[in-house]
Amino acid sequence: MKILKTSLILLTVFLLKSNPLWSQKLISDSLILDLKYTLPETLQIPIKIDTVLDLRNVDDPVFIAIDEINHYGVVPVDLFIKTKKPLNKIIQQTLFFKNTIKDQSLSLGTKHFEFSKHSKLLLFRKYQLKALIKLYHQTNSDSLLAIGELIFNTGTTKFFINAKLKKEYENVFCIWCQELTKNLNSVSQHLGNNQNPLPYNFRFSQLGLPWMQFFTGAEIILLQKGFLIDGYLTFVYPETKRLFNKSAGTLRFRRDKKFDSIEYGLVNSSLNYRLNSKIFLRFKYDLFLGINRWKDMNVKKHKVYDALIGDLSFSQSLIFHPIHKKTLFVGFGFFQDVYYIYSKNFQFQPGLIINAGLQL
Amino acid sequence: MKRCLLIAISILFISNILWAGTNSISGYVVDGKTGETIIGVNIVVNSTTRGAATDGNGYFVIPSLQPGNYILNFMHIAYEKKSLAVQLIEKSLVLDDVALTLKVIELQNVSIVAEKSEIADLSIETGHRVITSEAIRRIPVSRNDIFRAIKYLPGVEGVDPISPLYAVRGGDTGENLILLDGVPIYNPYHYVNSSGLFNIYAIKNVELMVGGFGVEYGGRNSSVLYITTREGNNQQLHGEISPSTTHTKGVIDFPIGKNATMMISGRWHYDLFSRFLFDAPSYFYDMNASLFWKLGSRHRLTFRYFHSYDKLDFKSETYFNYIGNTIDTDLFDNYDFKMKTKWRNQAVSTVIKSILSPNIYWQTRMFYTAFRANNLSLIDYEYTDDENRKTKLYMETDIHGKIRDVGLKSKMDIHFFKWNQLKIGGEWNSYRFENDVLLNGFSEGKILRKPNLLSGFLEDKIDLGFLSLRPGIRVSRFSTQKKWNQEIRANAAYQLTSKIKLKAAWGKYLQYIVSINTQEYELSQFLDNYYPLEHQLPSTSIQSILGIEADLNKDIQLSLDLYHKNIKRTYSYDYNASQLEAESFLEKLREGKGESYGLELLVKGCWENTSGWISYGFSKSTRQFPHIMNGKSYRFDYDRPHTFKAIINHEINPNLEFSGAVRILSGVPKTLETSYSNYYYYDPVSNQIAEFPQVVTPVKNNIRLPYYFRLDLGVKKLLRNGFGADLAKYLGADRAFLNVSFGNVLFFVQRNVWFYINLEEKLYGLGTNYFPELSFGYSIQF
Repeated sequence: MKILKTSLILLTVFLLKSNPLWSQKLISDSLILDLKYTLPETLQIPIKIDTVLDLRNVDDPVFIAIDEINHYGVVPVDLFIKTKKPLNKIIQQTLFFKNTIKDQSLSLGTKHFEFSKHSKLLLFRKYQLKALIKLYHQTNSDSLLAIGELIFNTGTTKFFINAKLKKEYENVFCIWCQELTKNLNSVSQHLGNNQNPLPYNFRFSQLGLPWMQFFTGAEIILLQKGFLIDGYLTFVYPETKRLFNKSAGTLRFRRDKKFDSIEYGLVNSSLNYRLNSKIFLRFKYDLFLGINRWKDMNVKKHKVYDALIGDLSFSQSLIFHPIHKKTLFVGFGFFQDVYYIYSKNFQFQPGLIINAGLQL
Repeated sequence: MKRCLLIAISILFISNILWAGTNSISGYVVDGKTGETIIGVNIVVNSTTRGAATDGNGYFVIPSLQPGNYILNFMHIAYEKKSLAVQLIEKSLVLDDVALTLKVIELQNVSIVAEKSEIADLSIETGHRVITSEAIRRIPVSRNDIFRAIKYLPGVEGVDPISPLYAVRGGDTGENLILLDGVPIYNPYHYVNSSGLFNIYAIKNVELMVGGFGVEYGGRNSSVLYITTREGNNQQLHGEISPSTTHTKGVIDFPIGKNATMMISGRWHYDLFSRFLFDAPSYFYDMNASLFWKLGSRHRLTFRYFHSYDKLDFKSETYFNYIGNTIDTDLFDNYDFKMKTKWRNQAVSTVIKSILSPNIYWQTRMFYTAFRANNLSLIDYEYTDDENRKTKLYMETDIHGKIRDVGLKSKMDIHFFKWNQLKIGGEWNSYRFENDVLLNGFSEGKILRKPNLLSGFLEDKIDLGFLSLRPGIRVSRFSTQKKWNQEIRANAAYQLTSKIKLKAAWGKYLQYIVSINTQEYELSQFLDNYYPLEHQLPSTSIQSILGIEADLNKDIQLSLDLYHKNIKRTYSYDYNASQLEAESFLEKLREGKGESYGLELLVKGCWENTSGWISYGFSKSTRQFPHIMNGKSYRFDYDRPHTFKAIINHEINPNLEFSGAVRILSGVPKTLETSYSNYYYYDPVSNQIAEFPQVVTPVKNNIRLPYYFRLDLGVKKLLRNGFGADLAKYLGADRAFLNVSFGNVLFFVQRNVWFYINLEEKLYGLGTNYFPELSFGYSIQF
C-alpha cells in the first residue's frame, strides 16, 4: 500500500506540474538563425559565383529543418529552424568576392542543408551541418553544366552547459563557410590546372545516388568453439573525410557447443580510415546484451539468470568498399570477444571475421 | 399483443409504399481527400427546419420536399461546412457524391471516443459501444488488438487472463455474433497471446452492441460485434508498416482508375525471442483485401477476402526447467502441459449497395465463411507425497471442428416520411458442421450436420420528436424443425430535457448454434466449439433494458444502463455423463436456464487534450442445469459482480501522447477440485480395463478467485531523429512514431490468479502478471 500511495502522490505532482504543459506554446517553437559570415581576405578566392540556386524540396526558402527540443526536460516540441533571409541569398552574399577572374565562374545549387544536434557521452552535444552543394559551370548557350558536388559534414562539440543552440548553429555555419570557400578554391585551381587535386569531399555528380544510403551487411565470425553471425542495418550519409565513423544497430547470433544466443547491440561503433577510393581499414567495437537457449534445456535445469549473456567484442578489418557508389562490399580481419554468463563467468575467444554487405 | 404489433407494422409499411411518390433529395457524403464515406454528417435545408444525417453507408435522404430551389448545408465537426444549391423540379433528386474537406486545426483535439455509429441508430439504441481504431491504438498493451481493447468496455469481460474469448452481460462466450463487414467469423482469435484476427490497420470502426440490438441481427443471445474495414483511398497511395521483433504488419490502399479503390493489409506474427528462447515453433498470419467499385452515383460494389492461419505448439518443459531451478523447487518436475493447435479462418464476400429510388436504399451481401480447427490440450501431472502415495492427474482434450457457412442477406432501408424509417430484409444460411471430441484419447462420437436457417425481419422507427419508437419482428426457421420462431423486439427513447434522454429496450433473442463450453477441461479455452441445435429448441433469452443518457457538457456524456436477462433456455455440454454412459453426441447437451442482471455506468468524452472513458459495472449471473448440483442454481462461470475500468489518453502536443488503462475486476468463480475418483471401463480395442481419474466436487463454482487488478501505461512519440526517422525519410514516408507500452505496472502489488492447484490440502495459486511487460516498436506512416 505504501508503494501505491507513493505512486498516487507522484501522479498528483505530475498532473499539477503538467498544467502548464497544456498551454499552446508547447505545440511548436521556432529558431530564427542569423546566418552571416564575412570572409577574411586570406580566404577569398578569385572566382565569380554567378548564382546560388535553392534546389531543396521545401516550400519556404527560409526553412532549414524541423528539429526537436525538450521543454521542462520531458516534453518534446518541434523546433522549426529558419533563417532571416532566404538561404540562397545568404550563401550568395557570403561568397561575394571583390577580386574575381572573369573567365572562371561557377553556379551553386543547395540540394541539402540540414542542421542537427546529437548527445555525446551524456554531457556533450554535437552540432552538425550536413549539406550537399552542387557545382555548375555556365556554358556558352547559357545553360548550366553540372561539374560535381561538394558534401559537408561540419560540426562542433560542446560541453552541454556552455552550449546555446542558436549560437552553436550560427557558429557551425561560419565554419562551414570557411570549408566551402577552401573547397571552392581547390575546385577553382583544379579548373585552372587539372593537375591540382580536387578536395576529398568533392564527388562527380552521381546519378540516382540518394542523400542517405541504405547500408546493410552481415559478418561471419569464426571462433574456437563455434561461430557468430552479425547482421546490421542503418542509413548513412556520404563520406566527407578520410577518417570517418560508421555505426549501425547490430543483431548477433551466437552458436556455441552448449548454447545459442541472440544478442542486441547496445553500443556499436566503428572508426574507419580510407586507404584509397576502394579500400578502408575498420576498427570496430561492440557491446551486446542477449538471451541464451541452452541445447540441453529439456534434460538439464538452468537458472533464469543463465538465459542472459553480456558480450564485448573488438575487430580489425580490411574492407573493399568503393566510395560514393551503390555497391556490394566485402572484407576480412581479426576478432576478439569476451562474454559473460552467470554460470560460466567471463570467457575470452579470438576469431576471424569475414563480412559482406550492401550500400544502396 | 404480437398480432397488434404485426398489424401496426404492416400498416406503416403499406402506407410507406403508398407515399412513394413524394419528392426527396438524397446522396452520399464522402471525404474529399480519401473518398471514404462519412457517417453522421448533418444536412440542413436552408431557412427550414428540414434535414437529415448520413447513415452508416454515408447516405442521406431528405424526404417529402416540394419542388423548388434549395440550399443544403453539410455540417460535421471534423469537416469544413459546405453549402450546395440544388433545384428540385418534379422528380426526386440523387446528388453526386458530396465531398467535404477536413478542417485544418493547428492543435488537433484528438478524441479517442467515437460518437457515430455505422450499424446502429444511436438516437434510440442503448447498450451500444463504438470504439474507433484510433482508440484501440492508444490503449497501452492492447497491441492494437480489438479483443484486448473491448474488454475495457463496460459489460464485456474476459474469461481468463490468456484467453481472447469474452463474455457479455452474464452470457456465454459463444453467444457473441462477430461480423467482419457483415460476414460471421466463428473464431476470430489468434492463439494464447489474446489477440484477434483483425489487423487494426485495416479497420475503420469497431462497434459492439451489448444488448437491445435490433431485429436485423439474429442468431446470438448476447452481443453483436461489428467490424468495418476500410474501403481504400481513392486519391493517392497510402500505407503504414510496423516491423518489430515479434511481428510485422502493414496496410496499403490505393485508387484503381477513377471509380475503384483497393486495400490490402496483412500481419505476420513470429515472436523471434520466444521462438528462440523456448523453442516454440508457433506463428500466425492474417490478411484482408478489399476492392471497392463505384458504379455510377447509385450503385457500389465491394469484394472482400479474409484469411488467417494459426499454428500453436507449446510445451511446458522448457519454462518449468528454468523456473523450477531458479526458485529451487521440484514442484514442476512431473508436470507436463501441452497445447498443440492449428486453425484456419476464411471469408469471401460480395456486397452490392444500390439506391433503388432516392427513398429506398438496398443492400445485398453474399458470403462464404469457413473455420476449421484441431485443438489438443493436455495436462499430465504426477505427485508423490511424503508417504509415497502417488496422485496422478491426466486430462487430454482433442477437439476437431469444421464450420462452413454460406449466406445471403438482403435488406432495404425505406425513408418516405420525415418521421418514419422502415427496414425490411431476409437472410438465408446454409451450414455444415463437423464436430469430433476426443477426451483422454477416446472419441465422444463424430457428427456431421448440414442445417439451413431462413430468417426475415421487419423494423420500423417512428420519430415523434421527443419520443422515438422502434418495434420490430424477426422470424426464423431451422431446416430440421418445422416451426417458424418469432423474435419481437422494441426500442424506445424519450427526450426528457435537451440534455437528458431516457431509453428502453425489450426483446426476445434466439440462438440455433451453441458453443460447447470446455472451460473446465482445457487449461485455457480460447476457441468456441460450435454445435447446431438440430432437434432441440433454440437457446432463448428475454432481455429488458432501461437506460439514461445525459450530456454533462458539450464533450462529456454519462450513461447508465440497467438490464435484466431472463435466460429461458440454454445448453451445457455434459462431459462426465458422456464418458460414463457413452451417450450419443446429441444427448450430451443438457438443457438449463439462468438469469443475469446488473447495471453499467459509463462516463466518456474529452476535456481539452484528454479523452477516454471510465466505467463501473455491477452484475450477477446464475445458471441451473439438471445434471449439476441436482438442478440447484449456481454462480455462472464468468460472473464478475464488480468491475471498474478506465482508459485515459492525454495528448501533450502533436509530438507526445500518454495513455493509461486500468481494470479492477471481481474474480470469476471456479470449481475447486477437492477430490478425485478413479473410473474403470473396458476398452475393446486394446482388450484391457482402462482407468482414469475424474474430478469430484460437491459444489460447482465453489470459490471465487481474488480480484483482478491491472494497470498499463503507454507513450507514443513522433520521431524527428534516429533510425525510425531516417527509415521514414528513406522510404519517403510522412511520419514515424515510437510506441512504448509498459504493461502490468503494479506487478509487485497484485498478481492475478488464473487457477488454483490443490495439493495436500494446500492451494497453489498460479497466475499471470508475475512480470512487467515492456514493448516498443516503430510505426511508419506514408
